[in-house]
Amino acid sequence: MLNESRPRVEMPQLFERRADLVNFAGGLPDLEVLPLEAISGQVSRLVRLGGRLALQYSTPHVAKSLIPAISELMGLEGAHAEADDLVPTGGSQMGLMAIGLGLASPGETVLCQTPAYPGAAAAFRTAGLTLCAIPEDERGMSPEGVRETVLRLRAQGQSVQLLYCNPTFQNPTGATLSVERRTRLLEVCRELDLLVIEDNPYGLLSFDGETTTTLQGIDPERVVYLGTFSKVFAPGLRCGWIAAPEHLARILRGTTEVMALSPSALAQAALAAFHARSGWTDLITAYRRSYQERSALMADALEKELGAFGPWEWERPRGGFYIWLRHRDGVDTGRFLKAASEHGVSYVPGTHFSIDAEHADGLRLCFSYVPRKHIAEGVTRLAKALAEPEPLREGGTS
Amino acid sequence: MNQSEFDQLVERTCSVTVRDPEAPFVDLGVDSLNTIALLMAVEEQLGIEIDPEALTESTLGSPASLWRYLQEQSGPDSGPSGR
Repeated sequence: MLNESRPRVEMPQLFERRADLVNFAGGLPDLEVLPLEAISGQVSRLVRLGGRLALQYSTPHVAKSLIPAISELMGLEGAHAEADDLVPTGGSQMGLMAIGLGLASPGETVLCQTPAYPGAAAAFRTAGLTLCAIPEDERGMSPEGVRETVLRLRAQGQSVQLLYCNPTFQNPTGATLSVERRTRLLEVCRELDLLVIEDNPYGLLSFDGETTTTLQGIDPERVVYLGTFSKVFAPGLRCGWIAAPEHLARILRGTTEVMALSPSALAQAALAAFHARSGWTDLITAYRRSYQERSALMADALEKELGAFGPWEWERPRGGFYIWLRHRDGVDTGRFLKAASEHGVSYVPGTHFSIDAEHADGLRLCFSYVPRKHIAEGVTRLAKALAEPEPLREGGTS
Repeated sequence: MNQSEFDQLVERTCSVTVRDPEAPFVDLGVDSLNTIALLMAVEEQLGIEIDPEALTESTLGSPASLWRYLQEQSGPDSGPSGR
């Protein structure tokens, strides 16, 4: 084996398509709202006028023409970055890998919000890092818990420098950390000299149009921010950015260059052209409306099928893509997978979001992509599956 | 549209300040992808189609040289007009 020292890391298979399947598993955006004709015209014009440049290799910098588009998006959530602070990525997954490789050393421990986005856990593990859950209370990540954990790990001789979180409409819980809690968390991170990795794909997708100031907006010198066009435009362009203090941006620029040699100038130019012509407001508003509607359909169906007093607890989302269900008695949701498949519905079991076998009692439903007319039917199928757990194996736990 | 209005289009599209339209794009901080964005904006604003094969380095040298080229393309008497 080339690399036996690092565990084999698998990403959950979320994007399966089957004619009879209602897929609540994959976190795909609803591209119905994209103005394809306008985009087609812009891309056509771009290729005709500048194809030889836009289809060429480029340097690992965010194109100047794209910076206003990023500045506007970040500004909507109280964040700001200069051109020298920006590093282009092929989406935040690449950014996570670049951070794991560029800003940490193998063997280090990364503090991680849990249940955790599996792509982040996979990236950090692939970079040879160890994960440790951030303690939480009823208001989310606990700053005091972070302090205790870091001091304990450091006393044991472990190196802890990074804290990873997805503080707005978190994947998978949909939870948003309050500004007060964000401020306190950053104070503790400063005290402990921790660098915060803020992953923010869903922050602009609140249903009421409200935004929450990002951690980067509160303390830009303490935060490496991952931004993406995947959820406010489309994931197929594979285009995102890292905003980091300049000395870290320089390191990450080098790492991304090793990983990909060059960002896609075509994707950057296409996004810049779209933004210059249309801005973000209309498209983001359309996305918000679509997700609000789908979320309401799913939440209404869940209330009808599962009731408020049954074994499942969950909250109506205020934004993002997901509803997180938890079994009150701690039943492992992996036990419903077989029945779900038989009934023709899919979800992601909680263990995919664990970093140490926790959260098995949770499951993630994604409402963003399933056609509206299939959502209620999917939830009916899910409710049937959730009534049919596989029997416990001898000696097994719940 | 005149040179001054064209300079404003350059400023809006490329997020730069044009004090002297003869100043080279590169000195204004306009990079090559920015130049494409500018050509796209020009086509859209003026309702014209630019032949990219006819563009030369000197044509794309400065706001003034690009504006002169666009005027030449649309005839000696009339500058390119908006749609």
